[in-house]
Amino acid sequence: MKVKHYPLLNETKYIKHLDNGLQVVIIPKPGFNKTFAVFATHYGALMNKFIPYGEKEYVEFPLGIAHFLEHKMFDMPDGKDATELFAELGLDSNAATSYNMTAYLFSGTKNIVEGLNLLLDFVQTPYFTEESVLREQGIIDQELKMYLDNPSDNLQLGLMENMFKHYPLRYDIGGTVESIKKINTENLMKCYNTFYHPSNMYLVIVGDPDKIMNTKEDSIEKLFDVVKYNQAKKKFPKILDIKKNILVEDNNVYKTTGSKKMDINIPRAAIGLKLPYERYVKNEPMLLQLKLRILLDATFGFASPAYQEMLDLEYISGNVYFDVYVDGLCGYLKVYANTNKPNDFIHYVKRKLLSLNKIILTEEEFERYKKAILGNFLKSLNNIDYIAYSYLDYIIKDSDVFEALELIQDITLEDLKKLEKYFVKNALTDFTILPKDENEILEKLSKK
Amino acid sequence: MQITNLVTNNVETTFIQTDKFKTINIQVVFLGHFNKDNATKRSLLSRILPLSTKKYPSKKALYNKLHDLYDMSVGVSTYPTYKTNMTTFSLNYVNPKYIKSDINLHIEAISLLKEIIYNQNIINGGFEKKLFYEQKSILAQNIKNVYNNKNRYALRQLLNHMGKDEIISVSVLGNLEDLEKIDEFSLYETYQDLITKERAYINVIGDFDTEEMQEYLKILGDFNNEAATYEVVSNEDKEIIEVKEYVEKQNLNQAKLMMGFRTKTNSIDPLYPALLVFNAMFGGTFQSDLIRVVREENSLAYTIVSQMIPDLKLLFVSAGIDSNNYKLTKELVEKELVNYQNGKLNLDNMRLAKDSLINELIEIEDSPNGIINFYFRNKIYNQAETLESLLEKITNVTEEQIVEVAKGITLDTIFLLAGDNYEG
Repeated sequence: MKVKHYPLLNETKYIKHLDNGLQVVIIPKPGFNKTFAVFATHYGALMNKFIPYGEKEYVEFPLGIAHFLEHKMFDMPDGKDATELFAELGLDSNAATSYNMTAYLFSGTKNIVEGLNLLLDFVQTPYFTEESVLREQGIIDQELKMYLDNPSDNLQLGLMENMFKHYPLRYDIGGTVESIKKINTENLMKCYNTFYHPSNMYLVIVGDPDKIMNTKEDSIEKLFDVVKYNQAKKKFPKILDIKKNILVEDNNVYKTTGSKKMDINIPRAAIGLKLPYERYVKNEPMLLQLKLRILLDATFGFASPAYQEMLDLEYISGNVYFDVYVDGLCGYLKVYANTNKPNDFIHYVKRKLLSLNKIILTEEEFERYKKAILGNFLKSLNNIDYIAYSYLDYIIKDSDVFEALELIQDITLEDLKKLEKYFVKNALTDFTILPKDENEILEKLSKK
Repeated sequence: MQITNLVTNNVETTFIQTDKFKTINIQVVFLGHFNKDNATKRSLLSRILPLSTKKYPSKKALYNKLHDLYDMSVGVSTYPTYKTNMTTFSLNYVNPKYIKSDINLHIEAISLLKEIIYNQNIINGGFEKKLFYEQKSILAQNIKNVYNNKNRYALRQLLNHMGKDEIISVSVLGNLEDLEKIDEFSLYETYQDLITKERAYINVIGDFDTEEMQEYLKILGDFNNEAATYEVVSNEDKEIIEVKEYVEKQNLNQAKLMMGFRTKTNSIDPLYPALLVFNAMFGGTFQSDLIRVVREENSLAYTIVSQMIPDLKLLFVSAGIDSNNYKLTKELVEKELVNYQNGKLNLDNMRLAKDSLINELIEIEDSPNGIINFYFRNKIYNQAETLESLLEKITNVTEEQIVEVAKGITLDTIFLLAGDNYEG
């Protein structure tokens, strides 16, 4: 068992690697009633082309298959649904698929040991029938249609389609109405066998080990044992390296602009900046993300002159939002808002972003943002869901969330200036959702 | 966790001490009346107050200060419970014991709170013009923006139709017509009334020394504690003669169905725990009867949920459906309610619903705001309820009580936000 204490945050983590390759992490939160456990595989919508377990050639899989597999994992061989079994134990369960991870989780205040066994068992028992795959295609079809009416989802997807030519961020995690029809029990099983090997998975448990194990003696050790015994009962094939082929592309955006019309009354616009493809190593993705957040906060945040100026010029009709995405390979940042002057807003934000090729932050301002990031993170440590999620999110990117946060205290303004090279014109794109004008709607109605 | 009720700053104060959080949360809550005339003013006021003060006259100045204090957050919210309004000034900051710094974060925080409450950037008897008009315009946009969130829009339309002359039709966000009439001077009067005439309460939660905290709170000075009568829950029972139905068409892939029901049980009714269990069984959880019937058995909706606003004695069922499945979905929901009224309860579902509610209650203790809100609500409801006592009541809810609650529930109004393809 490895133990690591982070004095700045006053948190400790305990890690154990089991013989089958599974990495188990316990983050104790004494005094909390709730336990949150996540069992996740490093497999998501990005990994659509790979060599299936035991085969020799690359195979391309239908879009949305990782998400489809997540839905199907809840089916149990006895006809039950794992969600019902968690509910029987008084536990909430859920699952989520992102671009690089599929996570199964549960939370609750009692029966945690039973819950852990159920979590490990249902995720390690694939069971698909042609009939249930067919029914699922109907359900996911409805889910995809629900997103079609959501302006935010459309804005995000439009921006990604503009930014990337090949990289799978340009596709919705759920796939398309057409692609999910190509999913069957056979290709689901191939994905499962390749990515759900324990050596490609993590189990993170956040909660009070004394309460979970109902003892004050060696509760952490005993909690590890629960997982160990569960895994020792099962047989797994030998560990193989997973060969993935993710299509990368050059650093220029695919299209520089785009728009779509929807039944809304205030336009919304987003500007994206594509980050160059790089192989990031230990903690770099997270540090890069934090550094870019500082830059965006300084440029567009509440305390920035630009935010006030955009309000004064009525380029935005409320808040301006920004976000940074970095995985182990590529990334982007985006700035978006509701705006009645989408063209002016886009032009203004692009100009500001390009001006970051010469960063003019003072030492004092820089130190202030560092303090804010530390404070913000300390505040979020009240929330155990957040701890589990962010821990997983970063471990999959080869980063340790606690460690990186301590590292950020050593970042200098000079380090930040090394990012100046990212802010170039051919990395910029934009997308706008515009209100449908009434004539168009009337025209459509009369045709019917 | 230790809860102490005391008097500081001339008003009722609650200290909740626990060492499991890394933060200190402080609230000053003002209790006033909520009605159509003041809702929009309160909404605008809560936007303007946390953005500047005399000492920090711009967003930049104020937010630089907050960043310097380790991302301290300060907020003002306004929220009604029936005809009573709670305006809450809240502070959330990192417990100084986690920070290596010479500054006293408690004193910095409470001094800043005092600035926000008492030292607004007032010029010639009105809020500073530029900020005022900027925020007025943003609020107008936010009100318009409700149209773009189809669920929220459908709920707002349902409430407008359901209770035209009732408090339920008053939006906490405000409305454009009233907003138009507000200027920087009239809003200043609203603000003055708030801090001088409304009754205040203080809540503090975190790991702190009681005596020290009392000393620090003196920075804020005395608040108003005059007793007034506040109507915090509805006691009205509305007779429903005929169910009203409204349909609006938009260019949508999926229709939003909103069904509004009246209940006879408010949040201080002895049957309130039974209402909680009823709602969880009916449509409040993923195991609910509505999910089973509408989603699993008839594949009519991807989501269907029931929610309640107990202080208004309202319950809603909302679902995303194909427009042309409207009649069938409606009938299934109504039929399910009749089952409850006839005593046809699924006991497994009842046990699961109780488990789920109990879990939620226990988890409240893991969130600083959850704890404060629970105890403060009970204080203004004049109830001595604790998490433990409510938990016990939920455990003891009987089938008969659930049937009784269900019998008091009547469908009042339906609003369907339909897609273009609707042929009803």
